[in-house]
Amino acid sequence: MKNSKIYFRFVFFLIVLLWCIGFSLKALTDGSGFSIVSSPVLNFFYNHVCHQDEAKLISFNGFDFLVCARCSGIYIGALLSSFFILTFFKRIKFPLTIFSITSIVLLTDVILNNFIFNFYNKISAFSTGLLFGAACFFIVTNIIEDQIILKSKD
Amino acid sequence: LTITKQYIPPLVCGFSAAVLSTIPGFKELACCLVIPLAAFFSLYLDQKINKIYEVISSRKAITYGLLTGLFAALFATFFDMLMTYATRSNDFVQALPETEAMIKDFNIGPFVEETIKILKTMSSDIRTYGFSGLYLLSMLTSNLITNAIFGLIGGLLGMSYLNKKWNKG
Repeated sequence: MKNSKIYFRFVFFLIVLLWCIGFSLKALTDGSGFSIVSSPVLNFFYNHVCHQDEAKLISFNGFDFLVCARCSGIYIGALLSSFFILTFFKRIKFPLTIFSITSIVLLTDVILNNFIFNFYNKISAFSTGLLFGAACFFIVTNIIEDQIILKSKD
Repeated sequence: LTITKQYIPPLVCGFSAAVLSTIPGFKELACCLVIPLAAFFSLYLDQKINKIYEVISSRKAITYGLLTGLFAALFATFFDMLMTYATRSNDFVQALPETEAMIKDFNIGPFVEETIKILKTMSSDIRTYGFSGLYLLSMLTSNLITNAIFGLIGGLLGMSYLNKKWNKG
Protein backbone atom coordinates (compact mmCIF):
# COMPACT_ATOMS: atom_id res chain seq x y z
CA MET A 1 0.00 0.00 0.00
CA LYS A 2 1.22 3.50 -0.85
CA ASN A 3 2.62 5.67 1.94
CA SER A 4 0.16 8.49 1.23
CA LYS A 5 -2.70 6.09 1.85
CA ILE A 6 -1.24 4.93 5.18
CA TYR A 7 -0.68 8.53 6.32
CA PHE A 8 -4.19 9.44 5.27
CA ARG A 9 -5.67 6.51 7.20
CA PHE A 10 -3.57 7.31 10.26
CA VAL A 11 -4.56 11.00 10.26
CA PHE A 12 -8.22 10.05 9.83
CA PHE A 13 -7.96 7.61 12.74
CA LEU A 14 -6.36 10.29 14.95
CA ILE A 15 -9.09 12.84 14.12
CA VAL A 16 -11.88 10.39 14.98
CA LEU A 17 -10.02 9.27 18.11
CA LEU A 18 -9.69 12.89 19.31
CA TRP A 19 -13.37 13.50 18.59
CA CYS A 20 -14.34 10.42 20.65
CA ILE A 21 -11.99 11.34 23.51
CA GLY A 22 -13.61 14.78 23.57
CA PHE A 23 -17.11 13.56 24.34
CA SER A 24 -16.00 10.79 26.71
CA LEU A 25 -13.15 12.61 28.50
CA LYS A 26 -14.87 12.79 31.89
CA ALA A 27 -15.81 9.12 31.83
CA LEU A 28 -12.43 7.96 30.55
CA THR A 29 -10.37 9.97 33.07
CA ASP A 30 -12.70 9.19 35.97
CA GLY A 31 -13.70 12.86 36.33
CA SER A 32 -10.17 14.28 36.40
CA GLY A 33 -9.56 17.96 37.14
CA PHE A 34 -8.72 18.69 33.52
CA SER A 35 -11.93 17.04 32.27
CA ILE A 36 -14.03 19.09 34.72
CA VAL A 37 -12.35 22.38 33.80
CA SER A 38 -12.66 21.68 30.08
CA SER A 39 -16.25 20.44 30.38
CA PRO A 40 -17.94 23.86 29.76
CA VAL A 41 -15.98 24.29 26.51
CA LEU A 42 -16.52 20.69 25.42
CA ASN A 43 -20.18 20.88 26.42
CA PHE A 44 -20.61 24.01 24.34
CA PHE A 45 -18.87 22.38 21.37
CA TYR A 46 -20.78 19.07 21.45
CA ASN A 47 -24.04 20.94 22.06
CA HIS A 48 -23.95 21.84 18.37
CA VAL A 49 -23.64 18.20 17.41
CA CYS A 50 -26.17 16.61 19.75
CA HIS A 51 -29.25 17.53 21.81
CA GLN A 52 -27.55 16.12 24.97
CA ASP A 53 -30.89 15.11 26.46
CA GLU A 54 -30.02 13.71 29.92
CA ALA A 55 -32.36 10.73 29.59
CA LYS A 56 -30.61 9.69 26.37
CA LEU A 57 -27.00 9.92 27.53
CA ILE A 58 -24.81 6.88 28.15
CA SER A 59 -23.09 6.64 31.52
CA PHE A 60 -19.66 5.11 31.92
CA ASN A 61 -17.60 5.07 35.14
CA GLY A 62 -20.39 7.09 36.75
CA PHE A 63 -20.00 9.97 34.28
CA ASP A 64 -22.19 10.80 31.31
CA PHE A 65 -20.88 11.08 27.77
CA LEU A 66 -21.40 14.53 26.25
CA VAL A 67 -23.47 13.10 23.36
CA CYS A 68 -26.53 10.82 23.30
CA ALA A 69 -26.51 7.04 22.85
CA ARG A 70 -27.14 7.27 19.09
CA CYS A 71 -24.40 9.85 18.48
CA SER A 72 -22.01 7.86 20.73
CA GLY A 73 -22.77 4.81 18.57
CA ILE A 74 -22.12 6.74 15.35
CA TYR A 75 -18.77 8.12 16.51
CA ILE A 76 -17.59 4.89 18.14
CA GLY A 77 -18.62 3.03 14.96
CA ALA A 78 -16.52 5.47 12.94
CA LEU A 79 -13.61 4.97 15.37
CA LEU A 80 -13.82 1.18 15.10
CA SER A 81 -13.94 1.24 11.31
CA SER A 82 -11.09 3.76 11.15
CA PHE A 83 -9.01 1.41 13.32
CA PHE A 84 -9.99 -1.53 11.10
CA ILE A 85 -9.06 0.39 7.95
CA LEU A 86 -5.75 1.44 9.52
CA THR A 87 -4.72 -2.10 10.43
CA PHE A 88 -6.17 -3.82 7.36
CA PHE A 89 -3.80 -2.82 4.61
CA LYS A 90 -5.74 -4.09 1.62
CA ARG A 91 -8.06 -1.90 -0.38
CA ILE A 92 -11.59 -2.15 0.99
CA LYS A 93 -14.41 -1.80 -1.49
CA PHE A 94 -17.57 -0.84 0.33
CA PRO A 95 -20.87 -0.85 -1.62
CA LEU A 96 -23.17 2.15 -1.33
CA THR A 97 -26.11 -0.23 -0.84
CA ILE A 98 -24.86 -1.24 2.63
CA PHE A 99 -24.66 2.42 3.60
CA SER A 100 -28.23 2.92 2.34
CA ILE A 101 -29.43 -0.08 4.37
CA THR A 102 -27.78 1.14 7.59
CA SER A 103 -29.29 4.61 7.00
CA ILE A 104 -32.75 3.08 6.63
CA VAL A 105 -32.26 0.96 9.80
CA LEU A 106 -31.16 4.06 11.73
CA LEU A 107 -34.07 6.12 10.44
CA THR A 108 -36.55 3.32 11.26
CA ASP A 109 -35.17 3.16 14.81
CA VAL A 110 -35.53 6.95 15.16
CA ILE A 111 -39.17 6.81 13.97
CA LEU A 112 -40.06 3.77 16.12
CA ASN A 113 -38.37 5.09 19.28
CA ASN A 114 -39.43 8.71 19.06
CA PHE A 115 -42.76 8.76 17.29
CA ILE A 116 -44.45 5.35 17.58
CA PHE A 117 -43.42 3.75 20.89
CA ASN A 118 -42.34 7.01 22.54
CA PHE A 119 -39.71 5.05 24.42
CA TYR A 120 -36.02 5.69 23.92
CA ASN A 121 -34.09 2.45 23.87
CA LYS A 122 -30.43 3.25 24.45
CA ILE A 123 -29.23 -0.15 23.25
CA SER A 124 -31.03 -0.01 19.91
CA ALA A 125 -30.08 3.65 19.46
CA PHE A 126 -26.42 2.84 20.17
CA SER A 127 -26.27 -0.26 17.97
CA THR A 128 -28.04 1.28 14.95
CA GLY A 129 -25.78 4.32 15.35
CA LEU A 130 -22.73 2.05 15.52
CA LEU A 131 -23.65 0.35 12.23
CA PHE A 132 -24.41 3.64 10.52
CA GLY A 133 -21.23 5.31 11.78
CA ALA A 134 -19.07 2.39 10.66
CA ALA A 135 -20.71 2.23 7.20
CA CYS A 136 -20.55 6.01 6.76
CA PHE A 137 -16.85 6.06 7.61
CA PHE A 138 -16.08 3.18 5.23
CA ILE A 139 -17.90 4.94 2.37
CA VAL A 140 -16.29 8.34 2.96
CA THR A 141 -12.80 6.77 3.24
CA ASN A 142 -13.48 4.75 0.08
CA ILE A 143 -14.51 7.84 -1.88
CA ILE A 144 -11.57 9.93 -0.68
CA GLU A 145 -9.03 7.18 -1.38
CA ASP A 146 -10.48 6.31 -4.79
CA GLN A 147 -11.22 9.77 -6.06
CA ILE A 148 -8.60 11.97 -4.50
CA ILE A 149 -5.50 10.06 -3.41
CA LEU A 150 -5.40 7.70 -6.39
CA LYS A 151 -6.29 10.42 -8.92
CA SER A 152 -3.64 12.78 -7.56
CA LYS A 153 -1.05 10.01 -8.02
CA ASP A 154 -2.07 9.41 -11.65
CA LEU B 1 -20.32 29.04 -16.08
CA THR B 2 -19.91 32.28 -14.14
CA ILE B 3 -18.46 32.30 -10.64
CA THR B 4 -21.65 33.82 -9.20
CA LYS B 5 -23.79 31.05 -10.66
CA GLN B 6 -21.45 28.45 -9.19
CA TYR B 7 -21.92 29.78 -5.66
CA ILE B 8 -25.71 30.08 -5.77
CA PRO B 9 -26.56 26.41 -4.89
CA PRO B 10 -24.29 26.22 -1.78
CA LEU B 11 -25.50 29.68 -0.71
CA VAL B 12 -29.19 28.80 -1.07
CA CYS B 13 -28.81 25.38 0.56
CA GLY B 14 -26.54 26.72 3.33
CA PHE B 15 -29.06 29.46 4.08
CA SER B 16 -31.96 26.96 4.14
CA ALA B 17 -30.00 24.66 6.47
CA ALA B 18 -29.27 27.60 8.79
CA VAL B 19 -32.98 28.57 8.84
CA LEU B 20 -33.95 24.96 9.63
CA SER B 21 -31.33 24.80 12.39
CA THR B 22 -33.07 27.62 14.27
CA ILE B 23 -36.28 25.58 14.61
CA PRO B 24 -36.45 23.73 17.96
CA GLY B 25 -36.24 20.02 17.29
CA PHE B 26 -34.34 20.54 14.06
CA LYS B 27 -31.53 22.31 15.89
CA GLU B 28 -30.14 19.05 17.24
CA LEU B 29 -30.37 17.38 13.85
CA ALA B 30 -28.71 20.30 12.08
CA CYS B 31 -25.20 18.95 11.86
CA CYS B 32 -25.73 15.27 11.30
CA LEU B 33 -28.79 15.39 9.04
CA VAL B 34 -29.62 18.88 7.76
CA ILE B 35 -26.09 19.94 6.74
CA PRO B 36 -25.22 16.72 4.84
CA LEU B 37 -28.63 16.88 3.11
CA ALA B 38 -28.03 20.55 2.24
CA ALA B 39 -24.66 19.64 0.70
CA PHE B 40 -26.34 16.89 -1.31
CA PHE B 41 -29.06 19.27 -2.51
CA SER B 42 -26.53 21.94 -3.47
CA LEU B 43 -24.92 19.43 -5.87
CA TYR B 44 -28.34 18.41 -7.17
CA LEU B 45 -29.45 22.03 -7.52
CA ASP B 46 -26.26 22.87 -9.40
CA GLN B 47 -27.02 20.14 -11.92
CA LYS B 48 -30.57 21.42 -12.33
CA ILE B 49 -30.08 25.19 -12.53
CA ASN B 50 -26.88 25.12 -14.55
CA LYS B 51 -28.12 22.21 -16.70
CA ILE B 52 -24.91 20.21 -16.18
CA TYR B 53 -25.44 16.59 -17.04
CA GLU B 54 -22.12 14.95 -16.36
CA VAL B 55 -20.36 12.94 -13.65
CA ILE B 56 -19.59 15.08 -10.58
CA SER B 57 -15.89 15.28 -9.75
CA SER B 58 -14.67 14.71 -6.19
CA ARG B 59 -13.11 18.17 -6.22
CA LYS B 60 -16.48 19.74 -6.97
CA ALA B 61 -18.23 17.59 -4.33
CA ILE B 62 -15.72 18.63 -1.67
CA THR B 63 -15.93 22.32 -2.66
CA TYR B 64 -19.73 22.31 -2.63
CA GLY B 65 -19.87 20.37 0.65
CA LEU B 66 -17.43 22.73 2.36
CA LEU B 67 -19.09 25.85 0.93
CA THR B 68 -22.55 24.68 2.02
CA GLY B 69 -21.19 24.00 5.53
CA LEU B 70 -19.44 27.37 5.58
CA PHE B 71 -22.51 29.34 4.48
CA ALA B 72 -24.71 27.38 6.91
CA ALA B 73 -22.27 28.14 9.76
CA LEU B 74 -22.17 31.86 8.94
CA PHE B 75 -25.96 32.19 8.63
CA ALA B 76 -26.66 29.99 11.69
CA THR B 77 -24.27 32.10 13.81
CA PHE B 78 -25.89 35.28 12.48
CA PHE B 79 -29.41 34.01 13.33
CA ASP B 80 -28.28 32.90 16.78
CA MET B 81 -26.72 36.31 17.44
CA LEU B 82 -29.87 38.03 16.21
CA MET B 83 -32.09 35.96 18.52
CA THR B 84 -29.67 36.44 21.43
CA TYR B 85 -29.74 40.19 20.84
CA ALA B 86 -33.54 40.25 20.72
CA THR B 87 -34.14 38.05 23.78
CA ARG B 88 -30.99 38.95 25.80
CA SER B 89 -30.73 35.23 26.57
CA ASN B 90 -29.84 31.89 25.00
CA ASP B 91 -29.13 28.24 25.85
CA PHE B 92 -25.70 29.12 27.19
CA VAL B 93 -27.01 31.78 29.62
CA GLN B 94 -29.78 29.48 30.82
CA ALA B 95 -27.44 26.54 31.41
CA LEU B 96 -24.67 28.55 33.12
CA PRO B 97 -25.87 28.30 36.76
CA GLU B 98 -26.08 24.52 36.42
CA THR B 99 -22.64 24.31 34.82
CA GLU B 100 -21.18 26.60 37.48
CA ALA B 101 -22.62 24.51 40.30
CA MET B 102 -21.27 21.33 38.74
CA ILE B 103 -17.76 22.74 38.36
CA LYS B 104 -17.74 24.19 41.89
CA ASP B 105 -18.80 20.81 43.30
CA PHE B 106 -15.48 19.34 42.24
CA ASN B 107 -13.44 22.10 43.91
CA ILE B 108 -10.28 21.72 41.84
CA GLY B 109 -8.23 24.86 42.33
CA PRO B 110 -7.86 28.45 41.10
CA PHE B 111 -8.00 27.59 37.39
CA VAL B 112 -11.69 26.81 37.82
CA GLU B 113 -12.33 30.29 39.22
CA GLU B 114 -10.81 31.79 36.08
CA THR B 115 -12.97 29.58 33.86
CA ILE B 116 -16.10 30.56 35.76
CA LYS B 117 -15.10 34.23 35.59
CA ILE B 118 -14.84 34.09 31.79
CA LEU B 119 -18.16 32.26 31.48
CA LYS B 120 -19.84 34.77 33.80
CA THR B 121 -18.48 37.71 31.77
CA MET B 122 -19.94 36.17 28.62
CA SER B 123 -23.28 35.62 30.31
CA SER B 124 -23.41 39.11 31.81
CA ASP B 125 -22.52 40.72 28.44
CA ILE B 126 -25.33 38.81 26.78
CA ARG B 127 -27.86 39.82 29.45
CA THR B 128 -26.80 43.47 29.42
CA TYR B 129 -26.02 44.20 25.77
CA GLY B 130 -27.45 41.14 24.03
CA PHE B 131 -24.02 40.45 22.59
CA SER B 132 -20.71 38.93 23.64
CA GLY B 133 -17.63 38.91 21.39
CA LEU B 134 -16.26 35.80 23.06
CA TYR B 135 -19.56 33.99 22.63
CA LEU B 136 -19.66 34.99 18.96
CA LEU B 137 -16.12 33.70 18.46
CA SER B 138 -16.74 30.37 20.17
CA MET B 139 -20.10 29.93 18.42
CA LEU B 140 -18.62 30.71 15.00
CA THR B 141 -15.62 28.43 15.55
CA SER B 142 -17.65 25.45 16.67
CA ASN B 143 -20.22 26.00 13.87
CA LEU B 144 -17.51 26.31 11.24
CA ILE B 145 -15.73 23.15 12.37
CA THR B 146 -18.79 20.92 12.71
CA ASN B 147 -20.62 22.22 9.62
CA ALA B 148 -17.52 21.96 7.45
CA ILE B 149 -16.98 18.32 8.50
CA PHE B 150 -20.61 17.30 7.99
CA GLY B 151 -20.91 19.36 4.79
CA LEU B 152 -17.87 17.58 3.40
CA ILE B 153 -19.34 14.18 4.27
CA GLY B 154 -22.69 15.19 2.70
CA GLY B 155 -20.95 16.41 -0.46
CA LEU B 156 -19.02 13.17 -0.90
CA LEU B 157 -22.04 10.97 -0.23
CA GLY B 158 -24.15 13.17 -2.54
CA MET B 159 -21.56 12.80 -5.29
CA SER B 160 -21.60 9.04 -4.84
CA TYR B 161 -25.41 8.88 -5.10
CA LEU B 162 -25.74 11.31 -8.00
CA ASN B 163 -22.94 9.65 -9.98
CA LYS B 164 -24.51 6.23 -9.40
CA LYS B 165 -27.78 7.58 -10.80
CA TRP B 166 -25.88 9.11 -13.73
CA ASN B 167 -24.05 5.84 -14.48
CA LYS B 168 -27.34 3.91 -14.41
CA GLY B 169 -28.98 6.43 -16.70
